[in-house]
Amino acid sequence: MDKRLTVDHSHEEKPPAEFQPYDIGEYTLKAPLTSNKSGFSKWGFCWKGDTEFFIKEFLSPVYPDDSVELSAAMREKRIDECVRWFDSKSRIYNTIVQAQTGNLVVPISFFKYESRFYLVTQKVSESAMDFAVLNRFDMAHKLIVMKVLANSFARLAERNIVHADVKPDNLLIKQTNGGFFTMKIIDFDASYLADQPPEPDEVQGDTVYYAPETLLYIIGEPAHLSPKVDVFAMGIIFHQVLTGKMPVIKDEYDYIYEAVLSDDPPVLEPSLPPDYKRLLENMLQKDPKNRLSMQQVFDELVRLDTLRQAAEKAAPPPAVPPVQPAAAPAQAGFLNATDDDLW
Amino acid sequence: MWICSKCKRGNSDTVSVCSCGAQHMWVCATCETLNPYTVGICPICGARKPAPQEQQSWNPNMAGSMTGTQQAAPAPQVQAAPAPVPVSQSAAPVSRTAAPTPQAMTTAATAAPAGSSSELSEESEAAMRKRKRLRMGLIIANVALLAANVIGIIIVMR
Ligand SMILES: [Zn+2]
Ligand SMILES: [Zn+2]
Repeated sequence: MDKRLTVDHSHEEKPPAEFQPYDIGEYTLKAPLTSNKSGFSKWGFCWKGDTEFFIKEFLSPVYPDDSVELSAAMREKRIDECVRWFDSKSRIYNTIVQAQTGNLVVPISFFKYESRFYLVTQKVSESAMDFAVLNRFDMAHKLIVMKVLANSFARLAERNIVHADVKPDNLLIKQTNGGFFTMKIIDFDASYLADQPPEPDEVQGDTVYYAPETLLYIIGEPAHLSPKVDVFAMGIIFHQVLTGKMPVIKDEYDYIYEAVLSDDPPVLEPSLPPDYKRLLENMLQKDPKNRLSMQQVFDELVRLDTLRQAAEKAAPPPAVPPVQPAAAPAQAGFLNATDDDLW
Repeated sequence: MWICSKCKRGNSDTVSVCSCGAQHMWVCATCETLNPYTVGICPICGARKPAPQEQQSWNPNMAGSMTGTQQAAPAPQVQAAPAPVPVSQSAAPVSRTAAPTPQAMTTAATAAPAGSSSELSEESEAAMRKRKRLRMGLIIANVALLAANVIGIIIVMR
């Protein structure tokens, strides 16, 4: 017999003290869902056995249950919409699961419960990419961070997936064994398959990291959306990883895509070595056809890392200066780069 | 030689995908990238593939949720999943009649972890079996490949 409690959505915003845990399918919610920082869903954490998961409740579509007064035709139409939406989301989620590189936080379960749709993923406790922390990495480790990202996005691109919301908030930095760091990629809410882009008015993402063609597509100009959209965003991210700063655009522009569309590309940090500068320029090309693919980006990072290692062997860097006491002791070996070590 | 965690068949080290479709991989402890079993050095960070008894358990959908280091062999990786199932094809006919129950995740429990027992000389048979059972339990409880999941749930719509 079905033991689940009735989900009363009108009571979800109660203070935690009054919150009554309830089940969503096989998962138990012990605290209310929130819509904090999320326009299209409510989210929270749920439990299954001893494991805590992240759960997202989609605000739409809503499946018409019996309590909804609808004509048969209207009910049929609403159901059709739900099936189509679920079908399309499932296809994307399935493909993401298949692209798993170890560093994608992929969907675990996607299902309908009562009249709502839910997505469950691993609970990730890591924090968003912090360029102040990254700035303390030496070049070897910045390259690992960039390679992890490029590898994961190349595997997504291989399967024609556009993440479409590449930004620091969705790239989590995680400390691993031995004080190393890696990246975890989250939030595939905005994602689409390149051959099935969303309608122009349904494109999501962060305008700061928009590719030029995304903007063209939204305003109805001829534009083809592809995984190169993520390459552009990653070009901006890599600039931040390498320099701690955004590329510089003129005051008359609000966004980098704007400057690029005006053939007035952003100015990259002058201290960037030529190879790195060229890589970023090739990631920030206006025309996606001229922009590197994520696999090409990865291959170039591998090449640059090989060069770096060879140079290091030929001329070993001077003894590493002692770590300042203020630096995090556990990661001292990793985070003791000085500016001079960076290139 | 590695033993497929799904169908228990032995496979040559030169192949990373079993004839049943399951992939065999190891997870890098430094950057947590999944690498094919045949790759000895992580192409991302240069870390060496650990010896089988040092490899960390990996929960296919749990990026970064590596647990203890004493697992005998990597848990099954993201399987060479079947081509995405167009849900509507299977779901549509069912959807209007099926009872609105939560999805069944049990169908996803196809991934049974197993190590190559020949590599486990230091561990008693019984302890290993217990560990395997525990891990299988964990995987069955927590992990469902979405592909399997979608087939399992078939969008339970009334
Ligand atoms: Zn097999
Ligand atoms: Zn690695």
